[in-house]
Amino acid sequence: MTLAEARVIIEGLIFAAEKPLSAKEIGEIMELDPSTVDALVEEIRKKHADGALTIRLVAGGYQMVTKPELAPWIEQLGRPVVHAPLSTAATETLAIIAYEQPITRAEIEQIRGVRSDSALSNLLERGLICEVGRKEGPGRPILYGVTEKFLEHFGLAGLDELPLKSIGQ
Amino acid sequence: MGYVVKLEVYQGPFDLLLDLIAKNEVDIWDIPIAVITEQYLEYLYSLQEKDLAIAGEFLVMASTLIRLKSRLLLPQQPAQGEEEQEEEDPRRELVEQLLRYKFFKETAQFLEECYRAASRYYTKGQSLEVYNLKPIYARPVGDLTLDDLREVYGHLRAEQEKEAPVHEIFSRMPIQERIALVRLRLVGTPRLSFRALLKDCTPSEIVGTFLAILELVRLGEIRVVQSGLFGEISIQSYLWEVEVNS
Repeated sequence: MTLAEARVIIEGLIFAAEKPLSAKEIGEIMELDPSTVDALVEEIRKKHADGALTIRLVAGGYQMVTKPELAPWIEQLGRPVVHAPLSTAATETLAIIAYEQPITRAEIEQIRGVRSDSALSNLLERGLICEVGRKEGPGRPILYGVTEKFLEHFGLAGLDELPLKSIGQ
Repeated sequence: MGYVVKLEVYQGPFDLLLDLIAKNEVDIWDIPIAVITEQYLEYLYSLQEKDLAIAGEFLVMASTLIRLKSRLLLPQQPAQGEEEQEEEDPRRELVEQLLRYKFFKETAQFLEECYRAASRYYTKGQSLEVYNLKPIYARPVGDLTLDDLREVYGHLRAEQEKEAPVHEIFSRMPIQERIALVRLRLVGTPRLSFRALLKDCTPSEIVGTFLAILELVRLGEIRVVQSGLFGEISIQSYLWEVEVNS
């Protein structure tokens, strides 16, 4: 296959996939090196420069999306909001889990200084966090971690896009 | 479903305190506890006037603040006998908690900005329920390093090579036989040291003896006493006590 053909196939795969598709997954399908996939995606993105669509890197994968400047028009289609905004309590709880995972409810509540059970159940229901195990110790409390959907919700490519945690600020 | 009413949106006592510290423009490492406590309580009173229930956490913090205030008012007790040690600032623990919370509060604000930016991108709108919910939690072994794991694995391998397969323990060393042995050793003795009992035992005999002791405890024939952490474990016979007392 030529590079031009590879570009078209990659574009088709990213369009048709139901979730962000990583360079590795694309590479496995097409028997290409992930770094080659990355380079080709960059070319596709350039080709889209004056179109409506672009490819964004989110949750470790590529996803085809409309450009942000179209948002005011698309909003008028009245499509239901895919990801409704979170409450401040839920966002705070999520921030703590993203950094401190795996973490128990009691540990989260100690950091926030308030009960966080409703924030936690909200996040679980939305699939932004999940149970990742149980902590050894009395009562074996549930440990929580963030999911890939968390990254997608906030448009993050990976956890390393979060601000650096400085010590003793 | 109940109503949730929020006046000033404070997520909790830490949030309120950070706001008071910012409003007063004071150094977080040198909080004027008296002033801040007063303002903190004023806020709680204002809630009370509006007939709103005050969340328990706010009250707990109020008592912490009052305790801090009184500790700061009291003259420092001179260190007795011990060498002159740096006086711990009683506010330190609270400040550290506040800073920790502050970091996550700011990160939450960062995430909200990310969300606003991300929500301007639209996908083609297929079913999102298929979305990957697998955790991205990537530290299944905590803070262990590869070297730690290799070391543990090495120990396990070495032990495995020393020891015969576990299932043979039972055929070679029936628990009943070990129980009989422990009973025999306990005849006419008030107590027996666990270590003495295991002296010159092979690993499989140790396991058998251990199981025998557990079984005897269950049967109520013996009790096991340890003087302290890692201390000598002594095995005492109830039967012997009965004989002596009667």
